[in-house]
Amino acid sequence: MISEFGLISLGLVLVLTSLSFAKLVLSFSGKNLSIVNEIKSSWLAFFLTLLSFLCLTYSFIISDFSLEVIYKNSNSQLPLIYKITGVWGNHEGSILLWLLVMTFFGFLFSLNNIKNKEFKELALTIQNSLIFLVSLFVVITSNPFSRNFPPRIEGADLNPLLQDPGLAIHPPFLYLGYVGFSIVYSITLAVISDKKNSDFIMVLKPWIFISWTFLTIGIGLGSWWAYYELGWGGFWFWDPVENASLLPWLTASTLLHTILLARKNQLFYKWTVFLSIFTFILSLLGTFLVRSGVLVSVHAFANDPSRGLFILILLFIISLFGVIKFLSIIDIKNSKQINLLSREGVISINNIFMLSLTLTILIGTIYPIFSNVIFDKKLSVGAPFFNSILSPIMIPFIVGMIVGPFIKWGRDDLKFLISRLKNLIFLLFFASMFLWYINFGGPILSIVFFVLGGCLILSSFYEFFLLLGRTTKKIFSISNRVLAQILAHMGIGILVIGITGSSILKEEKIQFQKVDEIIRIKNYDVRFLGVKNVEGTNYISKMGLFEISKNGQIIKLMQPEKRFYNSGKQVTTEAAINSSLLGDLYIALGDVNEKDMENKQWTTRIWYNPYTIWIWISILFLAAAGIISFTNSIRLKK
Amino acid sequence: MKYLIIVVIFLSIFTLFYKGLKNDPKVVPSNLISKDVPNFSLQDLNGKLFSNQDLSYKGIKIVNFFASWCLPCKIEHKHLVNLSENYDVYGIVKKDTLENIKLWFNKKGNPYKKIGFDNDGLTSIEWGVYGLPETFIVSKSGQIIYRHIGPITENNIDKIVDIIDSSL
Repeated sequence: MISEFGLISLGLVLVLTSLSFAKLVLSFSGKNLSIVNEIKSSWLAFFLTLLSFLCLTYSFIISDFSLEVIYKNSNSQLPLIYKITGVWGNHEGSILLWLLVMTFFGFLFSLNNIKNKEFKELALTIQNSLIFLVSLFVVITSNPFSRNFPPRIEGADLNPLLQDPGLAIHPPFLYLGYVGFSIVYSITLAVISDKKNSDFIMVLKPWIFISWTFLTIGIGLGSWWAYYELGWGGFWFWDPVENASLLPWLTASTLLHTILLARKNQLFYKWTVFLSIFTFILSLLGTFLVRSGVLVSVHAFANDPSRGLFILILLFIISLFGVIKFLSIIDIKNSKQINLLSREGVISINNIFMLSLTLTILIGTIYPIFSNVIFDKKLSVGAPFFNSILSPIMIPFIVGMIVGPFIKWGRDDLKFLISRLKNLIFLLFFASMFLWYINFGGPILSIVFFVLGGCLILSSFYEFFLLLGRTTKKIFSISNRVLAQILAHMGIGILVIGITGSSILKEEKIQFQKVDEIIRIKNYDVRFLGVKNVEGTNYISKMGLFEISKNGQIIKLMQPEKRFYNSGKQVTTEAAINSSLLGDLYIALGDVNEKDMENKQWTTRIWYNPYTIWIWISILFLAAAGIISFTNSIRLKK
Repeated sequence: MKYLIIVVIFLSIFTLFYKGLKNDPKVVPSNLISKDVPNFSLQDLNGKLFSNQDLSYKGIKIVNFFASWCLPCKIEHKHLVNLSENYDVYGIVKKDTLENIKLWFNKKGNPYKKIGFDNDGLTSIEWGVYGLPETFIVSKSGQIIYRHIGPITENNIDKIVDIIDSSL
């Protein structure tokens, strides 16, 4: 009964938003369907979708296995939290979540106090049309409320990999980011059509910041989850699905920089429009790649080509509409010139680098599809390609981040710049020497990136103290915009060190380890004490016991697990991680050596991943920067 | 004009993706398809010779690469036992010992008409095997007609049987 209610709400959303879609289509031929009140439509669409989502959640909680998706993705033995997160642990539910987030952003935008009513109306018409297309997709190909017959008594189970707190919150955050760009897209297209609106940047800004922040946290959580749950000892695998989330993040980061210029002196209007549209297209492309199964990926969702085709058509319509709208403003001439040595100049160069990064990753990600179709050749593009192409691009990019914030707006002078920054240059020089010295003998690439990352952090601190010295009052008087910039750049510096340490300098030992055998890695002695059986709520687990000592002193007992889930007959690895600022000791338990049962040998994989924790810290910095920018932008608007 | 160009570009990208949708990325082609079985000669369970000559008779043959240390091989074993009731199944064991294999067969049954020990892994390389298990279907005339990567399961056994039946 409850589920029928959910389906009806969903149907109502479809009918309701179809009016907005009709209005949009009619407006091309100059007709105006003014009976539709877009503000009320957005509210209704949001509350109806919320209702539908709650109905599905309720059905998951009471384990209504007569619904196909619950039968396939839940189980009565599941802990309550995973019954709830199971709602989006499958295709149908997660697309419903996608729709919910989309309507939520439309709802929030409709609450916005914008003077230009026509503009607001148009943006909402576009947003509601997007909602129409997505709800059509849900109803036609991914109905979460479809019943099975005869009804089942017990469900299959939620994929054990997804039974994890990190993953429970990863998809909602990612969606808030991805889908947040739908409103950015709608606003931008409305701006193109509405010539009167002069200051659309102010309207656009908060949405870009908030979506970017959510996307950052979403990607960070996903990476963190992969690190401790998959047991592969790494945090990023250049998997197509990971790349798909990185692409809109990169263009959104570019956009963050561009809107500064667009706001400051009305530069880059076209460029801002382009990036806003492109970011949402990339979000949709990501969804297509993930959901259609067109590429091999660790994200093995239930793929279905008919769904893939539908998303492809969506992607096609939405991007074609965006590009054609963009072409209508391409003839607008911009007469202002930019000096290369100015803040505008550096930000332009930053834009070029960011976009090259994006296109490189985009090509690497979708090339296998083209190669398969055009040359009939199967291939996959993996980490070696991305690492070798991206490392050289990163070097000038980071140098730009170090120098950029010190360059003046408008026009700067090289001599003057150097004399202003002589203290900083001095500081960075000695810091580089020092970093080089303590890493001496290590791989050259790691030294280069440690030095760059270190300099970036240092120069951000320098900028902070420079501003602090200049303002006679307190910290609070530093403008939020600059504070966010400092935090974000510091975050990137920390990220660079984290990535460099945990990829280039990582140590790995894989072996059959006997009970009481000691493996030495870095300066830790890892002694294997044996394996015990542990029973969880819906799994049994083999828990390895490892005694860790450093310089002869026992410091910790680590317990990696191998869990066998009862219902799905699936096995997951729960790595044990001992984190410190200098590095993580990471242990994953493998199989017992069946050939040699007497000696009780187990495969153990032990890693030492230097500075991995810095990656997670950097996400906090970036998120904090995003939140500051967001609050700042809504405060300024009022 | 510029709109036309954009639409054409979009349509071609659309077509590419659309065609890409129809390809299953998990299917990896083999260079050996419709070629003769590569030459090999291995020792079998009893120390006798097992070579490509053994596969030269007229009839459909299934060649399965496996090992006792390979977990997915255990999962597919029961399907091989079922297949062996109707078809000739041969096995090539990669880097394993006689004792382990005997132990396994005692527990789970032996579906193989004949097996060979590929201890140096060279025969596996000749067949292009890069992970275990892999299964090949050899036609009546001795050509490889299908390669299956990964374990045979409930989900894919029908396809394998179809391929065998259609070439009978």
